[in-house]
Amino acid sequence: MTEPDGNITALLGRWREGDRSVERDLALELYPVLYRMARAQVRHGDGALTLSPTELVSEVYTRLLPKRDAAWANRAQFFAVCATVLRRVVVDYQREQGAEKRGSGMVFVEISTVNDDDMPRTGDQVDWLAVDQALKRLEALDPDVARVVELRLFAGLGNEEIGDACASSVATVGRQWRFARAWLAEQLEIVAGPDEG
Amino acid sequence: MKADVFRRLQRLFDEALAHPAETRIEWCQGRVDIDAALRDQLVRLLLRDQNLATASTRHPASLGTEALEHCADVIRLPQQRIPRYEVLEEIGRGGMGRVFRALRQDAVDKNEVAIKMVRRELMQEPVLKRFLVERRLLAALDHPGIARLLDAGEASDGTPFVAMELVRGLPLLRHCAQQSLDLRARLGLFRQVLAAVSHAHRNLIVHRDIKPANVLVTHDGCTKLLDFGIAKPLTAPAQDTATAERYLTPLYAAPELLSGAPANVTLDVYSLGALLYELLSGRPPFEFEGRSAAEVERLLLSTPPDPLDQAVASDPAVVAARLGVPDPWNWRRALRGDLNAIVQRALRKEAEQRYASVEQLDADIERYLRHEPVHASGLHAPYRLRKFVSRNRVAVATCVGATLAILVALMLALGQARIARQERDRAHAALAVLSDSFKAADPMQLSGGAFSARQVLDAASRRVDALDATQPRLHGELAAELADVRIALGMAESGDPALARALDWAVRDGSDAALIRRLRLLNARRLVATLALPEADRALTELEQSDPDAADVLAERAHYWLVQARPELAVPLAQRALQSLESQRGSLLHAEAAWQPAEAQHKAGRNEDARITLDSLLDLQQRSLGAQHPRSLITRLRRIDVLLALKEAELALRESSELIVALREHYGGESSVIALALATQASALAANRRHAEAADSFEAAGVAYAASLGAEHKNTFRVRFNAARLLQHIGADPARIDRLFEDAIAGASSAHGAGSPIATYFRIEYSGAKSARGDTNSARRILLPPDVDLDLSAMSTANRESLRRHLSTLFKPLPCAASAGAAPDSAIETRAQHLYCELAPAPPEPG
Repeated sequence: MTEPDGNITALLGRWREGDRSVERDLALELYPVLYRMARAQVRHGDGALTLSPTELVSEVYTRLLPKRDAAWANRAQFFAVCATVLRRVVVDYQREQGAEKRGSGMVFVEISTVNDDDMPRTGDQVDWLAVDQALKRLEALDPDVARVVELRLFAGLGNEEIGDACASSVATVGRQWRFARAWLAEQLEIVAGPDEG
Repeated sequence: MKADVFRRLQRLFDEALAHPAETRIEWCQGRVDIDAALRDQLVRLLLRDQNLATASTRHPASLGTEALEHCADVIRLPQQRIPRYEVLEEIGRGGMGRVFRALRQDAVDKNEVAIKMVRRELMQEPVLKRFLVERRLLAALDHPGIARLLDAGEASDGTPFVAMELVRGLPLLRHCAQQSLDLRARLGLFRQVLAAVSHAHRNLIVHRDIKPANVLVTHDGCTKLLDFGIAKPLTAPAQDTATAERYLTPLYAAPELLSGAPANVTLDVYSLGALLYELLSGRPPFEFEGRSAAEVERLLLSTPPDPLDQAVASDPAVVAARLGVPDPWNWRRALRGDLNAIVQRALRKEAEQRYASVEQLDADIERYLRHEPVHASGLHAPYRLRKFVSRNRVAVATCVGATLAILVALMLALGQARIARQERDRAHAALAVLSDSFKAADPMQLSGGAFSARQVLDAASRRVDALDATQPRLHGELAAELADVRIALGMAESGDPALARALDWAVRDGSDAALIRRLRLLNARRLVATLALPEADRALTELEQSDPDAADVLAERAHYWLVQARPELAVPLAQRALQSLESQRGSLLHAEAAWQPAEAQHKAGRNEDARITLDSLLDLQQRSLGAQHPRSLITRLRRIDVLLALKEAELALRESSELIVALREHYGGESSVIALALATQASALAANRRHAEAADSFEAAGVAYAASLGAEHKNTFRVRFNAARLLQHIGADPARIDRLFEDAIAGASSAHGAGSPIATYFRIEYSGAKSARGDTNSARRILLPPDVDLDLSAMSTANRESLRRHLSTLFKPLPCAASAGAAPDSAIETRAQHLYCELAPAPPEPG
């Protein structure tokens, strides 16, 4: 609908030609776009905030990439860049909200693609600051697994697309995700563990 | 943990998963080659994994089918024998039980019946009790539109059952689609259902589970309502139904069921509304598939369903197939307006805003079929919105510029058939957003529509913000409407990010020159209203370059000069603006433009001219609109200021008292218009030296302003301050004076900050009043409250002087040279001393 931002277009062009060095700049340019869109998309519902990363990232994608590139093979790659940015957005957003409301109970951002069996949670609420912290620990231990989690949660990608983006097989991604899920649950002490039976 | 240990853990985890779940833990414990700590960790992870895999989601959407899915039984005949009946086959199952076709063996006519049995696995005490209740209830119902209860008893193992009339027919929606029924025929069938439900309600029974599948149409075209499975007498206590919640069909269940509210007839009204929605649009009001629990809840609790025609438009081909209608576009047109109003009213979130009875719903449908105006349109948010805007928009004292009321514009857009469909849809969406804002501003509906403008505008802003990314054009239009209303209500803000974003988008998009211009003009008006004069000048200059003779630009430039205290420059501009609107004589736009030259003349001290301008306008309005028209009355109200300036105090007072009575008819008691009229009357009373009554009127104006514009609106705290000073002047009841001062100070503080010049000015006067009564301690505390830093730099010289004088009387400070260098601390005297010196006539040191 609107012309993509000049700078982003240029970066995307270089990046599509294989220049991975622009990824960082691209992320910096994408941040405000995603932040604004996320803010607009986040809706309040009973104190929880809902965000649909899949919708959001798809919208960025269709907005920023010209039509003729719709079938462009690097879709998953682009989503992968967005996932990192969106993770920052979600964390910053929650921090911002939390800063206002601290003391009156935690504010949570709910991400709509996250199901109960995808993500440890209490009730309908996910504490994304805690998730972010846990993810950082995971990155230190195994960046590949951490990346799978990031793509799954913050770009709403399925195993196949994650495999695409990480140049890895669907089976591996499935295994990594299953392990990461249990590990995060343990870290975040959310779902009833062995102690609680 | 080290990375290599972590990877080992990962590998072991994968390895363990290869084993069946039941033996996994055992397998781990057998791996003595792993050190105990790591093994322990592995076990914990595997347990987490198992819990995650089996954790069940409890979406409200699945509540209805949960019972079905949890029990694995397949379709089979009941094990137990049913006395007197031969069971033939299972014909259906619902949340609470299974239904079989059966033959009564001992009857003469051997009629087939439907036998309903409670699911064995659900046979807990509450369900059983409910079932027994149902037998009694159904026996009381005898209506051709309700499947009759024939018999009841217990099966061989004690399972209770009921035998009901076996209805042969098609489910309602399928029937309508198959027959390609038109609107009229559909409404006819629906009214049959209403008659049946109405009969049940008269017998004090609420159905609670009305849904399309529960309505069958027989081959002779009669509807039959099935399954009073969870029916409940109206008189029973609420907790009786607590267990039934999980058996409801959430697509059609009213929002209050989520909170377990007691059953009453409006519950069925909602479900009937949902049924009608689907019957007409081919789609239930909400689609829950693939949504999270929180989303479903939010949809049910706070999102109004799409208008019917939009529901059709969302996917015309599919909808046409589901409805069985050949031309979805034609169909869609018929759904606009009254039919949508009826359905939406039945589907209101707040039970008390729905039709109070099924009969009322039926009556409105009958009116629709007879082409009479329906009641639904008159009673919900747009109406309240319209009323609200008309109550508040005209009369804020500071409002000079020409403003088009949002609602007037939107209502016109909705009503004009020749307006392009796209615009209509946008207007619809806009209206929906603003209506929602009303609900959001007053969620409990406690104030009956009399909430303050600020609440509504804030709620509306939040909603409009959300549209920024998805619907930028609509966002732009709504941002413009909101800015317009804010300015008209004297609530313009120094920053309006929504307006800025909208303008930014519109300029980039470039396709809508009218919108760009409108946003630019609003931005200029906002800047004038917030006294950002250099920016305002730039914005106006930009507009003047492209459009030098446009009436609205001229009028705004005139306003700019009025604000700059250069009324003599404003007069000719305002007059030119009026002239160019000559062709629109009689319109609101013209009237507003006509008030401006008079205002400019009044401010320039040319009160005779102002009076002539207003008299001739009034003459014109009274002839064309009538003497009692609100616009004529407002012109008279504006004339009072001029009369007072001309020392016609008695005439001014007579006019104001008459006007209050007349305006109350139009605007109600607690509107900003009445507040303005009361404040004007107060001035007239004061001019007649009737101070006590003047104070009463100011105080009443304060009440009306607070109710309509909020306590922190400048008009509210100003009139309260005026009332307090007048009362102080005549030596009235100190408690009343204190309350008014305190209210005024609180309002000014929350609007501009506790240390703002206006709040400080109010406190100086209040402190003076206390001190005059001999209460020096209070006077000191009021003048220098703890934790408030006075913003001295923004104060006018006169106020600085007056503050210094008060400090001097109250604290008897030392000459400044003696105390130089004293730092402020908590002791009030030290602070006073410091301030006193800082306020010394010599300008303070920079830095």
